[in-house]
Amino acid sequence: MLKIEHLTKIYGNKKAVDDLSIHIQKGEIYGFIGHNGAGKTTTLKSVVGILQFDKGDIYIDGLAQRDNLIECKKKIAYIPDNPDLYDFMTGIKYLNFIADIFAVSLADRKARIDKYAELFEMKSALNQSIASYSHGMKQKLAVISAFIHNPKLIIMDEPFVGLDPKASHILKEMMREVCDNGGAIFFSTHVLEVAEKLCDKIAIIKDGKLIKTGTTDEVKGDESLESVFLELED
Amino acid sequence: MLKALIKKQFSEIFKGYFVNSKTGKARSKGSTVGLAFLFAILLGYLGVVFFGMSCALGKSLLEIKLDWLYYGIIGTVAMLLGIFGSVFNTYAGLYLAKDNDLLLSMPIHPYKLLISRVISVYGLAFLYSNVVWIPAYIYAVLHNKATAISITYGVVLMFVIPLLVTALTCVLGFVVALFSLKIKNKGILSALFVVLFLILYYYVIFQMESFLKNLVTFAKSIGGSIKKWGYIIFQLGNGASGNTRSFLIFVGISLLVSAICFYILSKTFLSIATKNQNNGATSKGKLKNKQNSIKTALLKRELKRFTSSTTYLVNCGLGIIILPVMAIVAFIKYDTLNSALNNLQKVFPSLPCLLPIIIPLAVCIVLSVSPVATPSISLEGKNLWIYKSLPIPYSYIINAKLNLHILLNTPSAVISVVLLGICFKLSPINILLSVLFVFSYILLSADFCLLAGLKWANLNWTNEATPIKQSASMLVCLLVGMAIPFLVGFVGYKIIDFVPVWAFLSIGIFVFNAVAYLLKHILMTSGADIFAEL
Repeated sequence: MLKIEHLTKIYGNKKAVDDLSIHIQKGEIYGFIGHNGAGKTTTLKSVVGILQFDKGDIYIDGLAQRDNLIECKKKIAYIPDNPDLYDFMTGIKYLNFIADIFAVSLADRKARIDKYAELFEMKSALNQSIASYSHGMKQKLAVISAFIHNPKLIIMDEPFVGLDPKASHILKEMMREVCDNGGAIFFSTHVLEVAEKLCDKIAIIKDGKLIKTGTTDEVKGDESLESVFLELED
Repeated sequence: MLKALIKKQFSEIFKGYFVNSKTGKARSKGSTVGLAFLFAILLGYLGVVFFGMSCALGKSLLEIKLDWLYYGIIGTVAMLLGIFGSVFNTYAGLYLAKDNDLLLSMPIHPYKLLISRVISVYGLAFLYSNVVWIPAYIYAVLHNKATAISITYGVVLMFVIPLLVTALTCVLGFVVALFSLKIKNKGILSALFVVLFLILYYYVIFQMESFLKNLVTFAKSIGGSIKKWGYIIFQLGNGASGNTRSFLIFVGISLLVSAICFYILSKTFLSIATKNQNNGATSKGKLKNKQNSIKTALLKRELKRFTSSTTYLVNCGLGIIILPVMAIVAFIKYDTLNSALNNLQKVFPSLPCLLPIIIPLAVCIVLSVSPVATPSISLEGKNLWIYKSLPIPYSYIINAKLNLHILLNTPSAVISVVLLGICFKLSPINILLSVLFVFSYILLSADFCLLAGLKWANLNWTNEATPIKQSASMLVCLLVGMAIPFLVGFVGYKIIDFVPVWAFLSIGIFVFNAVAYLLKHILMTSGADIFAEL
C-alpha cells in the first residue's frame, strides 16, 4: 500500500530524513516512533505530498507519488499533529468542504458524518464554529474529516494527543476496521504502550535514519518496546 | 517585562523589513533599505499632499493673524487621519492576537500586555497624524510665521496629538469588540460599521472643502463658532500658536482622556480577550449537508474566509463597496456635476473627449485599493496543510483565489462605469469599451496581486492584520495598482489628439489582457511551484 524508497529530505545543511525505506502492506497498522526532531513529521508530510523531498521515491497503492500526486492524495487521508482547521467555518461546513473536494456523494457523506459524529459525540457541536472547539474537539473533527472519503491509506501524526480515553479507544477501533477492509495505517506516536498493543509493525527512526523495523514482536523481542527504544536511543 | 513585550510587539510589526517571511532568513541590507525607502516614499507623498493643504490654509489664515485657527484645523485633520489610519487595526491588534493564550498563561499583568499593544497603536497614530502636523509647521517656519515658543509647543504636540488619537481609536476598538461579542456574521456587520464611519469621515472631509473655501470670507465668524463649539480644537490651535495656557489645557485634556480610556480598557481587557470571539455561530438546528463541485467548494471557502474577517473585508473590500455608492451619488447629483464639468471645460476644452478615458481610469484607481487576492495566500497561515493535502492541483487553489478577486471587483466596477457613463453622456460604444477596459484591469490586478502575495507570502503571523496591512506585497500592490491607471492616463493625455478614444481604449484592453494572460501563465506554472514549496 505504501512503499517509501530511499527517502531523503534536506533542510539547509541538515538531513532531516536520510535514505529512509519503509514498506507497508495492505491490512497493516505501522507505527513510527522516534525522539523529537527525529524526522517523523517530515517523513509523514512527504508521504502526504505536503513537503517536497530531495531524493528517493514514494509509491502509494502502486502509483509513484512524484508523477501522480493528485491520484495518490485521493487514496490518502492525513491527520496532522496539531489540527489547525478553518476557524471561520462551522464543523459541518468544514466536513462538507472536504467531502466536496473528494467528491463524496451526498448520501455517503451524510451516512459517514452521522456515523462518526455519533461515535465521537460531536453531533451537537458540528453546527458550531470551529473557533469555539477545544483541542480535543478539533482533533475529533480532523479524524472525522479524514474518514469521510473512505481512504485506503491513513497517515496520522500523533493522533491520540488531545483525545479523551473513549475517543482514543474509538479511533483505535476505526484504525483496525480500515485495515480489516484492506486499507493501511501509518502513524507516529510517542505513546509506546499504544504502539506496542496496536501496531502490526514498527519503525524506529533516529536523526533521520531508520534504525530498526519489523513486526512488533521482532522489534521488541522479549523486552518492552520502551526498553528497546531507550536502548536504541542511547 | 514590559520592555520585552514592547520589543516583541515592534519586532512583529517591522519583521517584514528585516526577515524574509518565506525563508525565515534575515534580509540583506539592500532589501531592508529598499523596503524602508518604499515606505518613506509613501509617507513623503502624503506629506507633500498635506503640505499643499497647509499652503492653502496658511496663505489666508496666517496672513490675517488667525494662527490658532490654522493650527486648529491642521490639528483636527491630523487627528482624523490618525484615527482613520489606525482604527481598523485596533480591534484585532488589541483583542484578537493569536498569542493571547500564550501571553495570558504567563505571569504577565494584563495591563502590561495592553500597554504593549496600545503602544503599537500609538506608533501608527504617530505616523499618520504627523504626516499632516509636521508639514504645517514646515510651512509656518518657511514663511517666518512660527515663533520659537510655537515651534517648541508644536514639537511637544507631535507626541500629544497621537496620544489623544490613540485614546479615541482604542475607544472605537473597544466598541467594535463589545459589538462583536454579541452578534453573528460580525465580519460583515463590522464592515458596515466601518463603512458608516467612512461615510461620516468623508462627509466631514467634503464639508471641509467648502469650509476652507468660505474661510477667508467668514474667517472671523467661523473662528468664533469654533471657539464656542470646538473648545478642544481652539485650545489645540491656540496652544500650537504659542499660548501657554491653551497648550497646557490641551495637553491636560489629552492626558486625562487617555488615562480614562486606558483605565476602562485595562479593566475590561481580560474579559473581552478571553471571551470566545466566535461563539455567535452556534445553532442547534439539523445538520445540513450540501454538495458542490470542487471549484465551487473552493470558491465558497475563499468567500467565507473573506467575509468572516473584518480586517480582511475592511482593508481589501472598501473600494468595492464605496465605488457604486460614489457612482450612485454622482448619478443623483448629476446637475451639480454637469455644471462643474461645464466650468472645467472652460479651462480644459478637450475634457469631453477625455471623459471616456477618465471615467474607467478613475474607477481603476478606486479598485486599486481592493487587492483581495494579495493577502489570501498569507492568510492560509497554519491552515495551509489542508490545501496542500487535498487531491487537487494547486492551480485550482490559485484559480479560486483569482476568481474571488474578479467576482468581488467586477459587479461594483461595471455598475459604476455604466452609471458614470450614463451620467456623463458617453456613447453606448464608449460605455461598453470602458466596461471592458475596467474588466481587463481587474483581470490584470487579480493576477498581479496573487503573484505578489505568493512571492512575499508570510505564513507565520500572530495577528492577521500583519499580512493584510503590514506586508510588502500589499504595499507593492497598492502602489503598482494605482500607478497603472495614472500611467495610462498620462499616455492618453499625450496621444489623445492623434488616436481616437475607441482605439485608445481598445489598445488598453488588448495590453491589459495580454499582460494578464502572461501573468496567469506564470501563476499556473511558477506560481504553483512556489505554492508547493510554501
